Amino acid sequence: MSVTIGPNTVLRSGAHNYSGIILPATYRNYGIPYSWLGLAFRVTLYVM
Amino acid sequence: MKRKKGISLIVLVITIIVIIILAGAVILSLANNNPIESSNEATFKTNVAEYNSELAIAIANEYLQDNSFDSATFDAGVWDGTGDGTGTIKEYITSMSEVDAAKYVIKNSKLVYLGENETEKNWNSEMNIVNLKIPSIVAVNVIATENSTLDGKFSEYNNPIIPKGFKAIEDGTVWPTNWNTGLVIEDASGNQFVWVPVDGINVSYAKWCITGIEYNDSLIADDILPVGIINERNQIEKYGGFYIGRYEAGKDGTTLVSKKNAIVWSDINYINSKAKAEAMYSTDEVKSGLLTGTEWDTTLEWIQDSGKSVINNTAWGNFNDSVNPANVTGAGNQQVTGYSEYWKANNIYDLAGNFWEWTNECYNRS
Repeated sequence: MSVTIGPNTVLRSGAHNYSGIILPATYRNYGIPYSWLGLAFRVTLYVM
Repeated sequence: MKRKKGISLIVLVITIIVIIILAGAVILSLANNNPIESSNEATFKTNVAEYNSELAIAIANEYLQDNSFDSATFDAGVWDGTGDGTGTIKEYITSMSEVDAAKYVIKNSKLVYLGENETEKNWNSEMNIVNLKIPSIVAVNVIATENSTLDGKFSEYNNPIIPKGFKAIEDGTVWPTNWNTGLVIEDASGNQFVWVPVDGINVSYAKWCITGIEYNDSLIADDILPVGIINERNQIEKYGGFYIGRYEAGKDGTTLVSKKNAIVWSDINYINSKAKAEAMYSTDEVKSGLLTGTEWDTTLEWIQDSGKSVINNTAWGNFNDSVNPANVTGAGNQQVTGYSEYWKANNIYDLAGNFWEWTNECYNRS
């Protein structure tokens, strides 16, 4: 599930320890500063 | 004694100084608001607007003559000034000058600029005209020295661009036959990316909302693009798709990689992941960034269009309750990139499960 950590970040992908949809479902999770959260990521290319 | 008449030296010097100051002000004004440049720009844009109008009329006429006309495949090449221009852009835009007809083509019913003039490129961009360069030709398994395609023709969703510094590899796919099952490119260091074709019909480039899932307009987040990337949709329009990291970002020491069997870079916050992703490639031909939310949604739409469920993905993701064939030894625990061949879709690993991933998306800019 995707999660919005207030105020301005969004996560994608299912968590590893339970099945989840990987659709862009969002919900706000107040009180957790995004800068504290360490997660993974994926790179995209921009061909100019 | 008679007093001599005339201009004193002091008055003359002051006058000269004032004239110099005024001249400088005029020169500065002309430099900032060059009337000749402004006139050229106005003429250029007027001409391009007229070309677009003629093109729209030409397309309408094609439909009238043949109601099976497919505008998505309507192309016309440059005119070299010889003959009457039949079969070239001149046939459809008769008002186009010989000079311009050598610099523009029609691609997918749209005017496209092939010229090298930077000023004209900027003016075209301001009018939403795509600037393109005819790609070079490169073979499979050969590192491209320029942005290339396998046949030297324009990149399409089913004939993808191969960026400079990358080679097309046939890892479970054949180029370009398997354009819809995950074509892979690889750089000299072994970093891999997968082509996501966006044909605009089966797969559109857009954020994805599913009825019944908690997702509504008030929650749709904006993507935050890297500096210098004004519009990632421009890439889609130019090339017919985009490249997604084949693996979750991994680390080799402190080096960011997109390779198999790498330790997933999972202890990184949003700001640093964005910075790392943007620093991976930064050349005139290729830049990189954190995957955007729109790209994520588009990739999911492509996967679903290919026949895999993105709602129930326990059969192809790493979860505690993964089902056959994804319930391999190690399922339910975080693993290295590309751990299992059963945890992938369309040649992309670990989209479902394994680790949560940041995307370049802003919930609320304020």
